[in-house]
Amino acid sequence: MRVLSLRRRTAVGAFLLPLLLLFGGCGNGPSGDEHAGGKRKGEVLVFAAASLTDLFTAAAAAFERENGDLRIVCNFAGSPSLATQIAEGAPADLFAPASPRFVEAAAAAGAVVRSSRFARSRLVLITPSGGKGVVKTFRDVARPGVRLVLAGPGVPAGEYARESLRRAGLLGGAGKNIVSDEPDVRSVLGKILSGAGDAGIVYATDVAGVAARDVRVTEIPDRYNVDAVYELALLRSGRNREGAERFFAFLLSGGADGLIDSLHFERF
Amino acid sequence: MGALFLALPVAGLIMRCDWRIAGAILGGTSVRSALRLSLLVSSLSVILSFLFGFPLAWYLARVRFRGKRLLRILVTLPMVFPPVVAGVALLAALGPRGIIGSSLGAAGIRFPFTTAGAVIAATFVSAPFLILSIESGLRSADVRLEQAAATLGANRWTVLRRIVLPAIRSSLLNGIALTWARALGEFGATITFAGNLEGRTRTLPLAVFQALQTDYTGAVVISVLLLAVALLLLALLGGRFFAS
Repeated sequence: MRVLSLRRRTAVGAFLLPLLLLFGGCGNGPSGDEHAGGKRKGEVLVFAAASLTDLFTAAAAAFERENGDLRIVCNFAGSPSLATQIAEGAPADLFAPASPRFVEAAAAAGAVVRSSRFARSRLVLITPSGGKGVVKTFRDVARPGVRLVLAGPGVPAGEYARESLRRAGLLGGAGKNIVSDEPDVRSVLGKILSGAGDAGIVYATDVAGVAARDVRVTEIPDRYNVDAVYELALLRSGRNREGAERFFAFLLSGGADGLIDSLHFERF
Repeated sequence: MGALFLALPVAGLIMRCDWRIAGAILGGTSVRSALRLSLLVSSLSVILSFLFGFPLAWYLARVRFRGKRLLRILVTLPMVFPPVVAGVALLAALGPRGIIGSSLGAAGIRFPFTTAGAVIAATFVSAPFLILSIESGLRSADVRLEQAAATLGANRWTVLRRIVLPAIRSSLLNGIALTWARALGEFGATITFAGNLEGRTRTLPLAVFQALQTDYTGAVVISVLLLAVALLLLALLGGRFFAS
């Protein structure tokens, strides 16, 4: 089941929320286990950037093992989609977009109790594995005829990727090669995994769990690379402030360091 | 109760639509480009569905052969495909790593990320509506008229044009309306198979999806436009839907 299958449908995300609450749960524990010792489990609803899918899924499972009374329900999508859903009244407890500007906007609207930056990620170039790809290095993305897949211009991964191309002086050529504006960074990965695109730019953390035989990862040189900064915000719209505070504290604590490390994120 | 449930979302859409800014949004280049692309893609889908679908419908309605039931199931299948699955299936068949897509790619033909890909996605999910409508029309048409015309010396083309098409006019128009509306609304297969780029594959439903990420009000306005275009098509072609 998994929330992942809903990612493409972010457009109707707000309407899917009831379903999410019924079937969701980031952790791998039995989701039917609504009652712990006869007492109803508290739920914490987390709206997280698509690029946090692996990290938050693992973190929720680790957290739930230690906190039997709480269940973490995650809604993963592109940051702008999440921001729209929150602005439209989604009862999210926590918000973790891939750029601090979404937290700043939510704070300006009075929606944020407090927030803290907790992780960083870097960009990499991905190409389909095997075959005779034309893209071998970062500079090759500007070669004529390359089908380049990026996240859309409003999505953090898309903005960072364009900034990185601009720093390398490649935006002119590569800009003409963009064949799709994907709604979130994981959809970019999908388009490369299926072989539809020749090259894509995603976070290093998106391919941490992907086998080398499925996708080829090429580093983007430091001088062009851009850091994505993840900020976690506690929202006023939440229904479970106490539970949200505990998951917030867990993500910032040393208890989550191992996960952050193993999935190639860096502590902020 | 049933009517209320069905009407409520439409009412919500219309009531949440900000008419004051609607003009500015609809006049914007991105919406106009999506509208143009939607009309192009859905029209081409209907034409392709007819060209390839009519002979198939004829075969289903008039020819007796083994495996007819299987063929009809095959034709109906895309109607019940979840659109995203249709997109994945098209990638598996026509994508660069697909079963025939790799040979197509070697010949320089590539569908993902092209308008042609969007047309294929829309045609795949909508053609069955036209084929099944035409088939049912052909079944109820009087074969003796066609035979009589042929005996009187009319060639096959004349029979088709003067006898068959007028006889199935009503089911044909209904089929075209349904096919067109389905092609116009196609989202899942398109974004999965053809991607999402303004002017090339971003049709109106994808424009709604795109707007939803940054501009809810804009998304509502484009949704109302899409609904209006679909209603217009139904009214023009399938007016008898509304007759009691």
